Amino acid sequence: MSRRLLLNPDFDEVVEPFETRRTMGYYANPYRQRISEYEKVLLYAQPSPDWIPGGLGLGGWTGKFAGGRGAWENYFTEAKSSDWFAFRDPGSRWEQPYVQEKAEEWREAQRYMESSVAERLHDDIDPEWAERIITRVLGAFIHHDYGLFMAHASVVRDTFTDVLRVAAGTGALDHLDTAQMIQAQRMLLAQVRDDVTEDIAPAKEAWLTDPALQGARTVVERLWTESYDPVETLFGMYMVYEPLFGRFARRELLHHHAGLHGDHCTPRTMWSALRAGDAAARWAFDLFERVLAGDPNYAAYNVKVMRMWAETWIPLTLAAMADLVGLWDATGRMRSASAGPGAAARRVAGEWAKAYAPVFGWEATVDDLVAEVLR
Amino acid sequence: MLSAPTAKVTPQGVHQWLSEFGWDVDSRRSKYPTKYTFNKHTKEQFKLIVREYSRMEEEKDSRQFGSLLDSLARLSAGSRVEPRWAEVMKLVSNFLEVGEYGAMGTSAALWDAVESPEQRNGYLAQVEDEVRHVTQCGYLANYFATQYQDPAGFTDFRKFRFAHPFFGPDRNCVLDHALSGDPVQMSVNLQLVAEAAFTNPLIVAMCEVAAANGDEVTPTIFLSIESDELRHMANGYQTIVSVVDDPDNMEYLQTDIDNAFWINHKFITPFVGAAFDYFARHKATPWAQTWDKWVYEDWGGIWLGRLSRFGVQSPAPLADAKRDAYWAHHYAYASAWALWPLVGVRFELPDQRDFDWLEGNYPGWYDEIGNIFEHWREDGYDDPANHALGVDLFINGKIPVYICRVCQMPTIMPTFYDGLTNVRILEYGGRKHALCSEWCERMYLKEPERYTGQNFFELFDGWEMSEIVRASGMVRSDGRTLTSQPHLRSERLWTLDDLQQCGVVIRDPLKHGQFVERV
Repeated sequence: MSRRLLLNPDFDEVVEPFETRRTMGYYANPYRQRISEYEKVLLYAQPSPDWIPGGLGLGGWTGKFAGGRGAWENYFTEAKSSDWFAFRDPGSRWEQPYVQEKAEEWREAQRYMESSVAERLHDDIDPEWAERIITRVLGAFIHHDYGLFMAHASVVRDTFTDVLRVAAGTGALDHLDTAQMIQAQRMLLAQVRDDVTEDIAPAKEAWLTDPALQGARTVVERLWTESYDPVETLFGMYMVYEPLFGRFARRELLHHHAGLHGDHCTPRTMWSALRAGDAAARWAFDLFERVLAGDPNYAAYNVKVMRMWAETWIPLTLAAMADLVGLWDATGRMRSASAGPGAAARRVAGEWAKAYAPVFGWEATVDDLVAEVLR
Repeated sequence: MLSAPTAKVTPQGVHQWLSEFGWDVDSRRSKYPTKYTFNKHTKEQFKLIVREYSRMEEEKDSRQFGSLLDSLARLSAGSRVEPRWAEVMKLVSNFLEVGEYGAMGTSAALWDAVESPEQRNGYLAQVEDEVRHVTQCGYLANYFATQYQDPAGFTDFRKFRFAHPFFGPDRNCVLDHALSGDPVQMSVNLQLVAEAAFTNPLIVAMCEVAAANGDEVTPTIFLSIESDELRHMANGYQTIVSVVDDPDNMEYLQTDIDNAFWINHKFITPFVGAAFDYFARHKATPWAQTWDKWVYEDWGGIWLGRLSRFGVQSPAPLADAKRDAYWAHHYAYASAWALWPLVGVRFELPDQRDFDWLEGNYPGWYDEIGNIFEHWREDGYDDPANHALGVDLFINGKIPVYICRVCQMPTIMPTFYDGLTNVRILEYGGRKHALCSEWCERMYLKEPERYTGQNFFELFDGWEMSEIVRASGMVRSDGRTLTSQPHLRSERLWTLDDLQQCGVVIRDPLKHGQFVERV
């Protein structure tokens, strides 16, 4: 076989370029001033025909589901867009930066687990918190986040564009990661404390039977198994459930109260979940506020659809928060030193009412929301 | 010695608990219905948690991007590639990307459908792998676009591919069939066939040919892609493992394997073969031998042999496919050259050196197809002054070519003659449908509602070729010179006017008897 060598000078002819334009994507609208690497590698990878708005192709799908449903159809979602490719993740988290971030988190977590034990940071954890919360309630969030991870599967299969599909994929990975890191924390503490077990059975029992968690289980199971519209699933999860219940549980209950009980470990586990939630919120706003509620043709329609979806997901979410309120009495230190669920609910509801509710014109005062949680 | 307490949590330790993460939900049904029953205790082979997976992929990314952005960039590696080979990478990077993109959806549907938390974990990792591969294909195209002498095509393929006569069979095979249907069918299409049978020749063997042609960029990216494919092959194997326990499942599995193999073979075999044996200036092993080694022996024999204890056999169409693998890529290259203005790359007729190699490795090649290339070369079909296209062969000879309703390939395999004698045409639902073979016919007859999309000839029936090129944007930045060219020279480039003067119109052969005519 003849072989052309890379460094053979015979082949280093200077060839006049055939074409001066070297930038791809003149047909794509850059999100910022010029097209980014994130857009170059991803945008329009989805080969949609033009009857799915924004698609560049033509014709139809040539291999379909039994019965004739195509690979992607406009009826997969009730939302409408003039251009599905308008969406961007403002964090530009394509694969390379995403796995880099997760790998950094893993290295940091490993260092933490090794040295925090050596420094005996686990010694002062309040036993009541360890048994009631870390073993059972925090453990139940393994199932909680696993269920939300599962709810992403059909979203990743069914959404209309490359950029949104990839963003939803990061949401899935983040939720599964949280579930796994909660178990990693329980496994760590189980090695140094007698009142924490790595066994998942008590966690699953809490998830399936603890009244404080049944509202959450209802929402998670519905998002996973009963929501067939991928955009509605994202709406329910990232515009309603996560910013309300997610913050109430992860930040207000678990992260903020851990310190009160001498627990330095739970805040670290929750921190990456909070980071994931924040990263997801940024792209969720791009989808629901800028693209769908700002659509040149379908803005009013989309706002109406979002309100219709909200009619389902807000009451369920507030009910889940109301159930969780019971946990503010879980330990003696919480009963004596916590600021209480009312303050937490007010903080979360206030943030949501200010940022999220206006996107789809939801009219509810903070007092109304808090009253529902504390009923 | 330090006496501080120690504790250790390993990724495998966390993974051991994964099967406990799920719980029974009464309302749960797969959103992608399946006729199969899954074993909920099936394991996965790559036991990774999200962060350990990320650590491994970060390492691979770091090696790959490190090479591309440092050593290969300083060497201007993208500008040192044999032009003939670099041109085919415009096609390969995009057509492979379509498959990687489809595979994201396939893996997600499987993740939704199966019952075992370990399997779901494996499929999720594959989703992110496929994101990686899509972006790697995009990065490859962008890398060449910034360095290679002719960026046109590397820059715009995602836009103009819809007017490409072979984009239809590519998308049909690696995307539509991979993510639409029964989830087990999807898995068989993607993981058991496309990834286990065809990514070895497509990705591994291609690196050898690329390197022989001065292309160090492609191996850097493709071998990194292939390292993930092992996980996908294992996922495919575990899909089969998860269904073989149930005798009812076995009623369907062999048919699904036969069909998936045929659909994948119909596009990938001629496409990759043409890339190896025609676009390579410095050729490696002849495609027919490469195909035999990887697809026939390694996959059809060894890989499926491992499944024989479950009752799985090599696919029934394997023997027909082996015959195709000898001739089909020659006819595919000739067909593509006959329609070169729509192909989006610059590609030339084989020269004497190619003639000698092809005849030497495929005895009888000249009499079969070489004489046609010679005729095109001697009559100056690559010169715009002559205003003639290779499709004249079909117009003058009144040779009809149809597109198969199921595999979307033109009826040119394994040869023009055999393709035509094998074709069968039937009417259903008020339309005519051409089917290329008994294998596609049997798929169509069982589920005609799955194959209702329009093909290339139907979509462009009545379009003059320069109109298609203009509408799809397959022109250079001067707005008139064609992105595609039938030679590699820098002079005598074809323009839209030249093409228009050829007066060639695409036709639907099911209505007009011909797929092209001159006006």
